[in-house]
Amino acid sequence: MNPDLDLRLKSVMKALAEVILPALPPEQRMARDQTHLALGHLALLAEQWPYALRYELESLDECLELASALAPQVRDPSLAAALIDSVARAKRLMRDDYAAVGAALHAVKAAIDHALADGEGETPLSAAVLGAVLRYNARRAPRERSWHRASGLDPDGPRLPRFQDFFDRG
Amino acid sequence: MPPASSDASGAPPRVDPWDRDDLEPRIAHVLARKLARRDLGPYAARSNEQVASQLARLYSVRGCREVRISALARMTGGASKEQFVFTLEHAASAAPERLVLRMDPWMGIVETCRGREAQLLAAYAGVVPVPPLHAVDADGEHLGQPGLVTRFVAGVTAPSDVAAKAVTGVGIRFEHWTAKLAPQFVANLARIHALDWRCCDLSYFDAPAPGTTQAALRQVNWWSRVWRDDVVEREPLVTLVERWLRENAPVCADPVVVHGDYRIGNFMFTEPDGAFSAVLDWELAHLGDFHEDLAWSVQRLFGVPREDGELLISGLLPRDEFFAAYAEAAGVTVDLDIIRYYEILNAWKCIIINNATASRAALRGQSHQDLVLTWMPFGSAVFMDQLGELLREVGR
Repeated sequence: MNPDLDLRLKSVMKALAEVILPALPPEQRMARDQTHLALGHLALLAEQWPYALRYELESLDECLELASALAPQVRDPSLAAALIDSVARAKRLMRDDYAAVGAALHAVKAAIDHALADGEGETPLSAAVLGAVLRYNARRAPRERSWHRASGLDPDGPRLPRFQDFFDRG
Repeated sequence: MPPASSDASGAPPRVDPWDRDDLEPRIAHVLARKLARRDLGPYAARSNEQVASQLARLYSVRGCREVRISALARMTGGASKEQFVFTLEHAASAAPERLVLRMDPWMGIVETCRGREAQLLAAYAGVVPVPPLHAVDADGEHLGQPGLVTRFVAGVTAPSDVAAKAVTGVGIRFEHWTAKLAPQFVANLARIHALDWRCCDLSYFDAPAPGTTQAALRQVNWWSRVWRDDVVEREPLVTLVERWLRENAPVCADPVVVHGDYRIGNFMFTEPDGAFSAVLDWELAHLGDFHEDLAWSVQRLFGVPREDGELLISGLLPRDEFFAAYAEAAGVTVDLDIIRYYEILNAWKCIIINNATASRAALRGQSHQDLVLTWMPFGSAVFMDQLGELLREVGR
C-alpha cells in the first residue's frame, strides 16, 4: 500500500499541527481544543491500528475463558446452553477477519451478560461466579490501561507497561 | 408508589433491592426525554446567531423589553452541555450584564435536569461560592433545549502558571496552590452537606427515606437504567457489580445534598489570592449519603501523583488527610466500609457514563463534543482495575 496508513495519518497530523492550529485565532478556544483532541486521537490511532486485530482477539479469548468458566455455575439450563453455544460459534470463526472477531466478541459478551443478570435470579452471587469475573477483570484491566496510556488520562500512566508488550510476548 | 414504608412495630422500612423502577420521578422523566430524542438524528452545534435569538426570546417572555444580546461566544470545557458567554442589555437594565448559558445538546455524557441545577444554585447562594442564578428554562420551552443562565464568575479551574494537559479537568496540577486550595475544598464540601435542604425549594428532588438503603439503591437504579438504555458493548464487570451493589446497599441515616461530581476541574478560584470563586457542575446532585461525595472525590482517575508517588485526591491532599479534615469540618465520623461501598458504586457509575452514554451519544452524533465523548472511555480501565481491587478487598 503506497502511501501506507502510517504515512497518511502522519500527514494529516502534520497539517493539523502546522497549518490548521496556528491559523485558529486564540479566542476560538473550542476549535483549538477540538484540534488538539483530534491530534490526540490520531496519535493513538497511529500507535494502535497495527495491533487492532490482536486486541480484539485477546478480548475475545478472555471472554471465551470467562464464558466457559461460568457455564457450569449457571443454574438456568437455557442460559448455560447459550454460553456454551456462543463459545462454540466463536471457536469456528475466521480469526483473521477483524469484523467477524468483533461481532463474536459482542455475542459472547451478551451471553455472559444474560447469565450474570438472570442466571442466579435474585439470590446472592456465588463465590465461584464472583471469582471468575474478577479473574477475567484482573487479566483485562491492566492491558486496557496500557492500551489507553497515551491518552494521558491515567494517573499511573508513566508507570504502566507499553501495550505492545502484552501482544509481542505472545 | 411510596418508596419505602415502615410497619406498625416501628422496624426500619425495608426497600426492595430489586425494584429497578424506584427512581426519583424527575430523573425518570429526563431519562425518558433522552430516549424520545434518540431518533432525531445527528445534532449540529448551534450557531451564535441561533443562540442569541433563543436568548432574546427567553428574556422577552420573562418581561424584558428591548432585549439586546451581544458579545456572545462559545465556551470550552465540559462534555455534556453547550456553554456560551454573552452580554445582556434591556430597557430596564442599569448596566450590561455578563452572563453564561449552559444548554443541553440532544445527548451528552450525562442526562440531567437544568431545573434541579437552578434550584441548587439558588439554595446555595451565600452558603458556598456558586455562580449566581439568572434564569432557567427547565424544559427548553423558549431555548429549544433545556438551559440555565448564571452570572459570569471570574476565576480559573487550573492555575495559569502550571503547565499540564487536562480533559474535563482530569490531570490538572495545582503544585504550590494546594496549600490555599485544599482547606477550601474540604470546608466547602462540609458546607454543602450541612445545608438544611428541607427549608429550601427543592421541588425537583425526591428525598430517599432516612434510615433505609433507598439512598444507595436509587443511585443503583438510576445508573443501571442508563446502562440498559445506552449500552454499546456489554461488560461482564458492570453487570456483576450491579448485583453486588443491590446485595450490599448501606443504610443512610440522614440524607444530605450530595454534589455528585465534587472533584478536580469542578471548582474555580481567583488568582493570585487562591480564593474559591465557584463550585461548579451541580447537575449530578441529589439527596443521599455524604459518603458518596467523599468516595467520588478520592477516585483514582481524579487523583494526581505527588513527586514521592503519593496520590493526591483531586490533586490536593492525601486520602487519609482528606477524610480526617472532612470529619473535623463536618463533625461526623467517616465510615470506611460505607466509603468502600460508594467507591464501588462511583467507579461502576463512571464506567457507565464513559462507556455507555458517551459512546452512544458519539455513535449517534447527538452531541457537539463527539471528540471528547470518544476520548472519555479511555479512562474506564482505571475504574475497572479499581473495581477489581475493591471487590477483592471486600471479599477478604
